[in-house]
Amino acid sequence: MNIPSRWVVPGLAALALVQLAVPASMILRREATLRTGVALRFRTAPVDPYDAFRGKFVALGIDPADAAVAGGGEVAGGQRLYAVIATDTNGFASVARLERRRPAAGDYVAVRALYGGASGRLRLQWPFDRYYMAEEDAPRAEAAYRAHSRRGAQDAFVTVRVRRGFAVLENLHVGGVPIAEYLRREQP
Amino acid sequence: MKKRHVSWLYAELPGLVGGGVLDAAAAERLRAHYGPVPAASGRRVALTVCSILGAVLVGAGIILLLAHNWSGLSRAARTVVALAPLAVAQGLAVFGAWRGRGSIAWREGVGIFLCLAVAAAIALVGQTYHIPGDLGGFLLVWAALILPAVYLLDAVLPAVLYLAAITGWAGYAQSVAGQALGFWPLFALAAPFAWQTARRDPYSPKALVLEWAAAIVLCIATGISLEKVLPGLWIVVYAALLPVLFLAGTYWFDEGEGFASKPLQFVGGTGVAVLALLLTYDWPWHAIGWSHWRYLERCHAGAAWVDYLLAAALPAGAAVLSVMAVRRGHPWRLLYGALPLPAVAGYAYAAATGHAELPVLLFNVYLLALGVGTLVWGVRSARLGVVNAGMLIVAALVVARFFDEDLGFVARGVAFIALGLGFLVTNLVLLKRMKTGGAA
Repeated sequence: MNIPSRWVVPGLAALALVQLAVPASMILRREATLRTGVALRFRTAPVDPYDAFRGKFVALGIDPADAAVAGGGEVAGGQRLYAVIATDTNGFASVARLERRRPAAGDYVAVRALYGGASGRLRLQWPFDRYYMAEEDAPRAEAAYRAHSRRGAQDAFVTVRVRRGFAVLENLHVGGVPIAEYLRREQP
Repeated sequence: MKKRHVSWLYAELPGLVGGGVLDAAAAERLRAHYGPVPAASGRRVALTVCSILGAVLVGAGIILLLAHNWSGLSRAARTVVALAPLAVAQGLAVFGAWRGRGSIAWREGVGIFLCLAVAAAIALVGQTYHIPGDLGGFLLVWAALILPAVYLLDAVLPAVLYLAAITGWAGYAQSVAGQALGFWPLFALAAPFAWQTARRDPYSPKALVLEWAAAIVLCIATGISLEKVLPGLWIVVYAALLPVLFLAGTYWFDEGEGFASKPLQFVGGTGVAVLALLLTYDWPWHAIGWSHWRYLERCHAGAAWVDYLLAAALPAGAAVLSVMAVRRGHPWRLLYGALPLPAVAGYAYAAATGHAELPVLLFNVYLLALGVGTLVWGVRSARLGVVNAGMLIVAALVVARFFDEDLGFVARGVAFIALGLGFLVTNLVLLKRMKTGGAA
């Protein structure tokens, strides 16, 4: 259909607003969460060395990787659930239970069930599974993350800000310091 | 009247005036009536290509330069960097439109820059905030944001990117055990633009690029969107889709010169031959039909209605177009339009009995008829390309069967020599006919 000439400029201007609104809404929501959200720490789980680094980011395995649904019952693959967060004695987040509906209070993160299942523990897909790095830092970041995520030597963790179930990854810590700081210290 | 027709008329005028068919005054009146022919399309294509390449390279270069210092930037700075190319592209688009819509080169260049800037903005914001990858969501959002630019800028390359994005989305959606029915309404959203572009001049470079993209995308996305709960139905669907493309091209878009101006015919015709060759083997006919219905979690029986709709509508479409081709005096096109017949018969037999011998035989016969018929069609219409296509089809069938059979080197050597001599002799005969005044 031919767009009349007099509509093209207003149309492009309106399209520009919509195109800017999409990344802007992504930014605003995440900035609000980073500024006002509750800070939680999640341990990172051991990773498959072939998947530890893809492109410009570190693929993260988050601990806990699974949890039980409150009340049991069938869950479909990809179904949205809410992980109610508890903090252990070391200050790390754990999943107290999985709820099907958004909890009325407390700290919780919206997650998805990786696979469907009838009952028992479900594998979780957390909304923070990668940490982007500058390409030149990638090999050393990968080596550091893997070294600090091995079974028996797991001291890597991520800090996440959570607000009304929406989570934003803040930083990756290795050896007790942010990854950027770790790489600066380890720089030959 | 289309530009190339006007060019042809102007080229004829001196001969007509010289032969006394028209007087000079009448020739001038014709020139005044149709006006000057626009600048050579080759030059315009070169301008457009330069504009597009320039826009893509500048945009990519900016992103690369900024990415070099990415890690040293704060989140706020990264946000500005992510959105700046997008704002620039939008500004150029609005400015160009305000100045009067601009040339094709400008609109295509700005259109490509805008599409890439949208993708870069979303991707860079994703990197800044470590947003988990969701390729399907990214492609869908990108497609939704660039589709309006296709219509507003009247630019065909953003339309090609849109088609690529929705095809990629369909592939991703199916791969994560979903379903890809959404491809069809998304494709339909671009249909008015394709129709409008083809209606203006179906043989313009713009229209041809879009027709090529649409034909290829349809061939890929049809297979992706099939839910495949009923194994083997793809045979019927593709055995009808490819003839529909071929016959639609020959019916409505057959005036172009050269294969580049006949995308539907090329994609459809080549597809018919390739599919028929595949179906001369027995492996596609195994484990198909109702007795092999798939109950897997990743197969959605509810979404399979599109499979059935395509399996019914496309053969009907092929039948209608075949009748139209015959009525127009092109019976040779029935060779391609008839592909659904052995496909449906073979599918029904293999599904009912579990045996592949009859369908394999049917398709061997069909492919031989297709090759010989195409060859004869080419000889009768003195079209060397069609003759060679027919020979290629026959050669492919013979070679495939020769590799299937337990034949010795001598037999195969003789066959290859015979085939080669066949090509040479046929070409010599055709050239001789053309020299002695055969039809062009």
